[in-house]
Amino acid sequence: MSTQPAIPRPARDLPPATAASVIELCGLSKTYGRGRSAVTAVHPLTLTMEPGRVVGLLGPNGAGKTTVIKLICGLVTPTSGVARVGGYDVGRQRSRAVRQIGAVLEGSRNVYWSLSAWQNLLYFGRLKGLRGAEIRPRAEYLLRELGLWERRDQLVGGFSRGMQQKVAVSAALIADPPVVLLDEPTIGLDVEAARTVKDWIARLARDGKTVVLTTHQLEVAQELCDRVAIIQQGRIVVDLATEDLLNRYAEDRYEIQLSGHLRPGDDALPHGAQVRAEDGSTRIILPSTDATELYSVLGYLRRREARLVSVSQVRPGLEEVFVRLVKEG
Amino acid sequence: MAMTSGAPAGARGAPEVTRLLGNETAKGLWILWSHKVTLVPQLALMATTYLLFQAVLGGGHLVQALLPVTLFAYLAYIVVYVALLKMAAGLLEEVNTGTLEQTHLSPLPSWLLSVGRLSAVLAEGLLTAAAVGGGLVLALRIQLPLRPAALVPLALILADIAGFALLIGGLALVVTSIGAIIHVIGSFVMFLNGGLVPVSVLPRGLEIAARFVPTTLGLDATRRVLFGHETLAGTWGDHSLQWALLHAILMLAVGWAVYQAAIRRGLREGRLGPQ
Repeated sequence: MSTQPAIPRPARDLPPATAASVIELCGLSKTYGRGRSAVTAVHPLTLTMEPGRVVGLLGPNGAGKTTVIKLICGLVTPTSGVARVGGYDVGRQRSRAVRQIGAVLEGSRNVYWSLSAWQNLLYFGRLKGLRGAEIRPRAEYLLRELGLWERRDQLVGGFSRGMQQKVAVSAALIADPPVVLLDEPTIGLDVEAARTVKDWIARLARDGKTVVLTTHQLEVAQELCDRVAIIQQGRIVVDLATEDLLNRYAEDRYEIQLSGHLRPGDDALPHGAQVRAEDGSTRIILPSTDATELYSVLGYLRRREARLVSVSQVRPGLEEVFVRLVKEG
Repeated sequence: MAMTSGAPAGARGAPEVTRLLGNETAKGLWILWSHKVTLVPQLALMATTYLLFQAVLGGGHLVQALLPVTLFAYLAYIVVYVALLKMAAGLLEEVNTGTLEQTHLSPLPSWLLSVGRLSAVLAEGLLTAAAVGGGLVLALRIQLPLRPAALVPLALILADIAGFALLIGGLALVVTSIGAIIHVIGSFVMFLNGGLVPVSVLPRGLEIAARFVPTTLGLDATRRVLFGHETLAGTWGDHSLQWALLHAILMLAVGWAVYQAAIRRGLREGRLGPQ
């Protein structure tokens, strides 16, 4: 029987309490500038995030996502309200709060391109208060896992975009923080690099970490996030478990799957129904249909001796829901 | 896998400060070394500039007696130049690349991060000056008088430079375009601190103005100790050391206040990262 080697982890302080929420935002707001030129990026928002969950913070450009991330990190001071990470007030207990956080920020290199991957991890590890003996095994583990070990001594500036992003992720994880904030982590990455980053996000959640993710790639959010908060013009317009959100916006649209092809003469189907013949089967999508109408169609199909395979409610994708929500404002 | 819910313990106190200073200095030197291809010609250019000005001053010849006097000032200018470059242009580059924000995700207090950055900047400046100075001393067989008493005014020069670098770094965070005139500011220091032309030969008005320029007063006290064979008590008595001390303290205080205010403003306005 083989045993898996232990993952190198630095020594750690315990958080003040085994809180149900690892991130708490209470009435947090941010207004840039003063007087007439004042711009409110984030209106007072209250949000909690549980440990071991991936929370997607979604919204159009300029919605305030990055400001929220930076408020959580303490990289922007709030106009009002409190942010707590691991039970620590980011404003008043900054040192302890930021120990809980690893972040990859949007539009940034995040790491030094004039240093090697190894030097970056040593530097950021020490900056997080770790000793060399704690950093080295952890850095080796991360670089090996992300496929960068062989190139650890090369300057990051010479890496591909995907490899640079992996170094940034490694640097964010060097101190093994319980909270990981990822602002557009897959932007500009090729398919393979994006897949690696996505696999790592899923892995972080399995490892019990709380991941806050902002992305414009909604299929990424749908795939990874347990919960989604949609932010628009600095306000949270929706904050629901991903499943609940998709179910809430599920329409009264049904998809009927038949075996074999439907013979011509299907004029009894409601107006707007789409019939698609596919390899040995037929798919019928009914638009906004109530139960009576659905049973009527099923009765019709029975009379036509169509062989029914399945009937299911059509659920919109996160992208469709997002577009609807943003349009509704 | 076990749930991880804490944070690295890390030590506090003096060892932590030492580790941070070492960490920042190591990073600065690693980055300096990564640019080694451009570093060598840069050092050669600095040495050549000094030689050219000294040759002009000597009417086509190098005046051997003048070289030690001006070399100290020129080396001080090199430290100023590197410090300005790193604290203004370097800082702005870190803002644009997001690494400044990443450094502020450290649990270490902001003042300690500032001290770390400053120590790295000074170490880079001193190393660069040592390389240029060492090369010139060996090539021209310049006899530099070395007296332990000179360490006091030299330390004041370094404090002066540190304060000036913090001041310019802080201003650069607020007025980003200042990065474009760093070379002008550096040249201003070079011409007025006695690096190329002894301050004593400057017109009266410029001579007075030169006293407000970083490093000038410290260099004056250093020259009195090294070349005038004055004791520290003597330089204190003739007020040259007192003025140098006052200038260094004021420069450090103003620089520190401006830099810390700029960091606070950056955090308030979210300007420590790419816009």
